[in-house]
Amino acid sequence: MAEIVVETRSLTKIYRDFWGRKKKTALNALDLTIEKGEIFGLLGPNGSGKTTTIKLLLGLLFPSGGDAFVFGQPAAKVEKNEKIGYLPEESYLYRFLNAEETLDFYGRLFNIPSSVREKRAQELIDMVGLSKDKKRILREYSKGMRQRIGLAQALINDPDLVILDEPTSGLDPEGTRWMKDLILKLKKEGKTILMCSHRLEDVQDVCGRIAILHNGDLQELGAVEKLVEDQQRVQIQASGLQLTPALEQELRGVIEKHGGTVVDYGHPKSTLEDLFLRIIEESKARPGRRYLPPTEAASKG
Amino acid sequence: MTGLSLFGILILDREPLALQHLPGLMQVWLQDAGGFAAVGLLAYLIYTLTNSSDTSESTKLRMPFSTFMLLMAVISLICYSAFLALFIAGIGREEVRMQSDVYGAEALAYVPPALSLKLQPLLLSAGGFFALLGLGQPFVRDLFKLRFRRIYAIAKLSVKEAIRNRLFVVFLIFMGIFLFPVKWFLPNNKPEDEIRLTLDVTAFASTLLLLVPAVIISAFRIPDDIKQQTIYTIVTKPVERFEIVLGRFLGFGTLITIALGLMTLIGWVYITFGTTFDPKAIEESQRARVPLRGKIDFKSKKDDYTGVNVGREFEYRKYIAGSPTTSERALWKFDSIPANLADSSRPDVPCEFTFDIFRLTKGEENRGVDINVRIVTWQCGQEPPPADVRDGVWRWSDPVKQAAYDDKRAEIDEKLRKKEVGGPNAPPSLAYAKPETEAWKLADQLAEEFGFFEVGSVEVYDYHPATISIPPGLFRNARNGTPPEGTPRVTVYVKCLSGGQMLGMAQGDLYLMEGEKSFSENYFKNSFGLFCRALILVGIAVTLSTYLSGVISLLATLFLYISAYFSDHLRDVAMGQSTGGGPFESLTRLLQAQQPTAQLDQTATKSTIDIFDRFYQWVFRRYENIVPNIDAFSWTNYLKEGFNINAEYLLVNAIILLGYLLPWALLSYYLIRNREVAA
Repeated sequence: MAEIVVETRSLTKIYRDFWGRKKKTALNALDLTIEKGEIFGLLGPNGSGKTTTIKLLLGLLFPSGGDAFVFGQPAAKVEKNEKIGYLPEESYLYRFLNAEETLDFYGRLFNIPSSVREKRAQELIDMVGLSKDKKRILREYSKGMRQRIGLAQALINDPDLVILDEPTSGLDPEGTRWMKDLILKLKKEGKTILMCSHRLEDVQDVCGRIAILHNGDLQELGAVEKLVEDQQRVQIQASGLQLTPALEQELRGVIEKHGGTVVDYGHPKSTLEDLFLRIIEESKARPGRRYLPPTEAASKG
Repeated sequence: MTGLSLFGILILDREPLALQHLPGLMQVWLQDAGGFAAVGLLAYLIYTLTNSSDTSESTKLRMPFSTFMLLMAVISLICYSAFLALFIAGIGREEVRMQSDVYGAEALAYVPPALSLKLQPLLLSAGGFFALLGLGQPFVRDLFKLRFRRIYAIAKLSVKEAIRNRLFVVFLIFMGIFLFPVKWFLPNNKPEDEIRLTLDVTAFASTLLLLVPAVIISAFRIPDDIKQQTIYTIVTKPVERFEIVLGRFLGFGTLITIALGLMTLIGWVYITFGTTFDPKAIEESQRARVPLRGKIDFKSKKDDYTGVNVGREFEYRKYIAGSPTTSERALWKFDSIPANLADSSRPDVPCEFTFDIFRLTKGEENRGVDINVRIVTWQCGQEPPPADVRDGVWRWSDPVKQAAYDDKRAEIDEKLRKKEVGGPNAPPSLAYAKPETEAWKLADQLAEEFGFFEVGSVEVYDYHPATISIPPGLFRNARNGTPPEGTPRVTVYVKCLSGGQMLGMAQGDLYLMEGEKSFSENYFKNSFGLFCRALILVGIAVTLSTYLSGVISLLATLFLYISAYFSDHLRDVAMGQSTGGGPFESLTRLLQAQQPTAQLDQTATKSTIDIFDRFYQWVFRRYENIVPNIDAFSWTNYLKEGFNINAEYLLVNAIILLGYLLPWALLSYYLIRNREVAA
């Protein structure tokens, strides 16, 4: 059995007013476990309890009922944070510090010795692509750059569990892809990732399992592949063919013979993200030249 | 033998807190801090015990409960219950010490606390002690989890923030304004007062420039961290929450140290090397006298004489009547004499004094009042004249010794008159001998032999310091042998000779000059008091900001700190000594158009009002307990009047500071632990 990294038992959070009267149930008896090495996604609309769950796990909020454990330790225990890296929704960092100072500061909070701290900070700055801007104070950074340095601070301690709250928020498609690739790389390194996001495609791209919350209640929990699989329909993809009426008729015949109905027929659609990234890559490779779709490019030789 | 000096008018209406007061201070601290701790512990235990059945592991970690805490609470409760029983039975009570008990004045002002071994205060102290132990247990346990690297990181962050947000630049600009010569702004002052005024202005400027930014950054930083959510990235690291408080406090403390160090250094350079100062001011102001102070007493041939109250509103001084035949004396008793006063290599021991003259008649124009000063050792006892004798002359307890002294003195005077001793410039009598002369050596020998020295007549002016020289031989006599229990080694008797004049004196008005120290050293020592006050302010603000918003923390801190400037009035209200009674009685008087001093009829309404007022006084006394004693940290008067600030006082300052901040630290520990930093 895989090691359990995060566990919540009937975790409940009720917000109350000054007089102790109930204002809102932000989270209602949430039970979930996250195993070592998986990428777990929390999904839900605004106010569904995703961020509340993360805050409860990190000890930023105190539970009204139930309990939360990280690495088998209660969420209120400070020592558990040694193995956690956290990237908040907005990159809430001190804007009067530069990138180096920021990582140095957070490194000190982990009690990392000076030499290790410096080396690690440099590696992370390179990794997030801020080497040229490491001396600039964060006030001068764009939102995407702040998100990158935010991620670097979350990884300063080489954590076993990385908690990402809306990690692609504010990032351009290139940055989003970079972030998703990084998340997958972290998984390969054996780290456990818990993320929440509004961007369902991001979650679908990287998460192994997800939990869907609504109004503080857990609505669905399971592997992404299983949850999104449509058992009612069958998809066949093929290459090296031209869409001709003869082919269509023949295929329809076969499908109807087996009792099915053709719902859609045509070329599969690439995502806008893929298109965008292809254009940017091409532009970088051939500066000043206009992008040509692959079919046109092939015809022009 | 007398000389006029312009400085040294230090009003010591309260004794500086010294090491000898520490046991008393500690007892009061245990009672005050312990009392609050007891209430906190009780509330905490009630909460944890009533919620223990359904709490999660996280809650148990956040709000720890132990058998030790319960045990301490029970012992504390027993102590307080025993105190209550004794209080009701009226056993073992310690009377409130008034200023009048100590200094003979009627004002109810601050009296340094003394250790009391009566049952009631002991039980209160014990109750407080156990409550502090109980409440402090989780705090002490968690102290071992603190790591300096993390605290240092947060402290460094605070310093960087202040510098990069240009707070320091603004501070320096404002500081520059106050360093312009004072005479530009206050041109009509005496030249010799210039440095004193400059010190006053720089002290005011430093206080303002240091305390205002300090309280603002301290009150707003943690709430801003929470508001801007920068705290998320800190508390999600392995950081003990108290480390945030400690880091912020140390960071602001460092900023204060840098700012104060800079201000002090610039101020010192300006005062010490300032070329625009009047030479007289430089010569007279840059001093650091080391005074030896005695205890004041008033005596006459009447046994119950305690000095006269002339009806002045400021009851700091008591008065003796002037007349050549008066037996009234003001006495300063010195229980111990340091060896350096008796050092044969020093020419003299100056005795400085500043008195208030209350004139019953106009007196002689352009003349002061004549006084007689007699300095005797314990080997030369003095007695007031018998009741039926009206010459006012105090006699020696041993008439034979007095006769021997008179004979020897007459013999020396005769030799001086004939120039047989004392060289060609010898004075006509010992009364005119000046230090570092042959005649003075004879006076020194005489004083050493008999333990007696008298200055027949010194002219003094209203609030104008004067000095007389005492031969060191007298102090050698004083240090020789052991005086009987309760007898001071040296006593100074002051008599007013001018008829129709009253001479007002307080304990701090006369002192022996033990020596002089460096003015520069004194200048830097003066800053320590301000440093302590700034840290108090930062401590309160940081603690309150762990739970309250920035604005509320700022206002609450300022309210608490500013009310410390009215501590005497607070004490009057808390002790029910204010004229016109408490707030409810005052309101009644207002509605009934009664004079504040009029006696109210003892009706049922009055009794009810008294109950409300007593409750109000109790609440006020609790409030008074948390108000810092900032007077204990004010040394500017010492500096500007040219008195050395004892290192001992500064040590006690540091201890008081620690004692004051410790309960606040405990409070901040509990507040930040139980604060949800996310919304």
